[in-house]
Amino acid sequence: MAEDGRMTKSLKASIPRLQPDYLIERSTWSATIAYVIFAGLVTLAALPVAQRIEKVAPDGGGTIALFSALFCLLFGVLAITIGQAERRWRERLSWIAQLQQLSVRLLFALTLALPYWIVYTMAHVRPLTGLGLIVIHLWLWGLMLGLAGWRLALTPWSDIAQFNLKYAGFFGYLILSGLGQIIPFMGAIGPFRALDGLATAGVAAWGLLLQSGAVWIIVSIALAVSIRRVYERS
Amino acid sequence: MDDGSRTRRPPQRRPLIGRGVLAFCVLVCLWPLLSCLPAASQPESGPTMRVDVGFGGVFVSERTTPVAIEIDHEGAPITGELIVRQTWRPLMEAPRTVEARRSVTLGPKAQLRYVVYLPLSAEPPPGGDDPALNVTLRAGGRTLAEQTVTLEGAQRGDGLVLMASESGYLQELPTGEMTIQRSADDLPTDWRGYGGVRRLYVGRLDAARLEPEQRSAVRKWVTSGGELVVLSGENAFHQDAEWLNALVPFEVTSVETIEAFGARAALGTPRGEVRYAEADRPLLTQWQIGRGQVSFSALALLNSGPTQAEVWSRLTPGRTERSGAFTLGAELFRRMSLRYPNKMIVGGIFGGYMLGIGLLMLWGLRRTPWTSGGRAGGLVDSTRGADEDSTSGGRNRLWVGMVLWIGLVTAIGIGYGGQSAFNARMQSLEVGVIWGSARAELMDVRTGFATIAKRRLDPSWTLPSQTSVFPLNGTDLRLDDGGATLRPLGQTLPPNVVQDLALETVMPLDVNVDPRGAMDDASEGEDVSVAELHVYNGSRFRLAEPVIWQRGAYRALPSASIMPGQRETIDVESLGPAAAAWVPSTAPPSGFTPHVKGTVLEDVDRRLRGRNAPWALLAWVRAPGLSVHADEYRETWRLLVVTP
Repeated sequence: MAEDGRMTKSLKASIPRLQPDYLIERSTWSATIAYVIFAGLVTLAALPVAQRIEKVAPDGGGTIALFSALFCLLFGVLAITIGQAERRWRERLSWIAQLQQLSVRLLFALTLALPYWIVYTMAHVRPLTGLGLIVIHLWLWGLMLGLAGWRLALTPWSDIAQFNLKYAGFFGYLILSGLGQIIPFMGAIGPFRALDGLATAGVAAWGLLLQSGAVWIIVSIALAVSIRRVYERS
Repeated sequence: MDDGSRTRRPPQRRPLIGRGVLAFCVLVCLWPLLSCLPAASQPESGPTMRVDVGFGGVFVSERTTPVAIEIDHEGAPITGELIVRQTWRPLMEAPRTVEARRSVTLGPKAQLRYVVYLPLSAEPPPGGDDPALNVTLRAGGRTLAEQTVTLEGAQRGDGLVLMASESGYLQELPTGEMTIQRSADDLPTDWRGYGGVRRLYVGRLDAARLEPEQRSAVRKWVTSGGELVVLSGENAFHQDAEWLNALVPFEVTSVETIEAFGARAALGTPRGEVRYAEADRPLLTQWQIGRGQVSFSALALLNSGPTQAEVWSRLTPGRTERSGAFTLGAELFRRMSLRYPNKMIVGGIFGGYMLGIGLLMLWGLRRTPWTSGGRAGGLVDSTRGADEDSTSGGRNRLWVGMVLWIGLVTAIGIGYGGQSAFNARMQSLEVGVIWGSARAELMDVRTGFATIAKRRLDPSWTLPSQTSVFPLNGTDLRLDDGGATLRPLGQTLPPNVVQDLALETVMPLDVNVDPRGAMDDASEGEDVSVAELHVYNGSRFRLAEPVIWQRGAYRALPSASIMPGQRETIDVESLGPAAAAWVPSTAPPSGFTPHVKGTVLEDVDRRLRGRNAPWALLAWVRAPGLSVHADEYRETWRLLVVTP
């Protein structure tokens, strides 16, 4: 045991933290590729159509809301999957290094979607100034979901139970936050309203980011503390 | 011993100086209050307004109408805003509003006169019976004065007929026209003041008395399609003024009484087309200036007679160039498509991106130490791979490749999606006709401007000076800054709503065309050919694809364009036929740009044939007339037409 412990320690010491290689691994690459493909298709579908002016009807930008919702969905699934994959790094990285790795992986996933966001923002004649805040917003959203996935992976439940709980919980949360049209508070904790606001009004909508971001940071801290306790107990 | 007597202290008296100081202090303290008393005792008198619409209340519906507002003010200085607004409901359509705003500064005892030019309507407002105009003076968020004027003198039809004369004249002319008489002082100082006027008769008018602004207004109005009829004869001496002599198609040398006519007649040399002559004396001469027409009657036509009747019969008004706003822009704009990135192109970019990312990730997976041999959790029990990898350059190559690929696709996305056609928040179309003539330094500019905001925004456009604006189809734009700018009626322009305007202005364009050869001695309307044209483009615009129109045929110039400052001599006979794009066709041209050009050209071609013009120079001017907003993508197609 003592030898094992020394070996693990030396192993951990020999691994430089946040090596870029760790961002691409077999357990998450298919989810990442699926995310890249589907996000691209959603962007393409949400691009405005060059129709005749006489047929243009005054609208409130419905495609924006659809794009935001679908992107949050895709990125959320990827974030939970990446979070679940953190379990496999438990033997090699300290929990804080894993936390950093999770954060960087999520940022990497967002970077992969950057060309989509730029083309989408330009095509919808939206301010590019809001892109930075959108990345922060989605990153906080993904971090909370990634930590939730990570915490879920640390439970003793079977894979099928985890799968069911993952999607039931995620979609339940999305539906609840979608009810924000009716219940104002629920809108604040969901990703859609703030994302819509940032995509539409740019940096002027930073207040919406603060509302949802604060909730997500608190939940993320609670999840991180819970994960740490599991690590300490084991 | 007390003798019971008391010593009485003499009363203390305040020194006089002290009382004076006290009184002064009290007075000083009360002074502000006292000074307010006279003002407070009087009722507060706000500014008063008098509104005069058109010519003594008479105006033509939906033509530019002058609204003169006289403000009397005796109170404290005021800086505010004058708002002139009319709302009406056209039959079976949504209510429309025209509005003009103007900043006003009123000093104490001010008496100021402001004139705004609006296309007023004869239609009643929603819920009302009579057309009305509302004029409001506001300052500091308060309404200081408000007046609603019932527009009783609204007329529908072709236009008003003015008689500029210092002495009385027939109110109903033998032509059937009803005239409104104005003296020299009452004539407009801005050509837009003639917006509803189709014909101006000049009788016994002291033409030299007219102010430079009044002269310029007449010249501009004629260029824009107005009909000026100068009744000379015994009025000739009154009318003798350099500016008017330059306008009329007749050079008066003397005035003599002709017994056969029973009146005094102006004698001289005709410069235009002689429409009627008797005993070898030209009595009615005409020519065209810009879009307008100037007629010169050698007789004053004050008395009746067979000769006078002949002249009157030839003055019977026909079709006027001034009727109807230029609606071509609005029609064409609706056939235009909103400019957005092409989905096929974006799909191609995204497809390539996905493929590249997939390949790079596969490459990364093949080499990643911790997962390359992994099974059931992807763990590897050796650090060998990591050590090797950390020393190799492969990892760096992977990440450099990844960053470069994302950067490249992002750059392509920005390059394609960042085009102003896609990325501008407004898309507009400006089409129009710039019409001038070789003998006039002014050109009539008619423009159709239509815009649509893709996103809500607050734009403003600067107008050329003295521009008449005709809102079409319920536009949300209003005139501001005394008619110098256009702004949204509300705070912002609503998205995806088309805004249509027709604009008319008269301005110098500095494109000089000098015909030589057969035209030198020929009068307009005769079947002659021009042999040579000397063109000088003194404007700052490029004249693209110039052609010569002659008797219905288009001939291409050797050069593809006439650049600013360029002088060109065109030998008309040697020109070959113009390209098919220059020949109006009954078949609809394919593509938006050919359609726009074809439609504008057809309109001009019809007018050229209708005027029986012997020749015309045509070219496209792509420069916008209206200022372009920073967030606007505009396509501009304006056809320059120069006729004799």
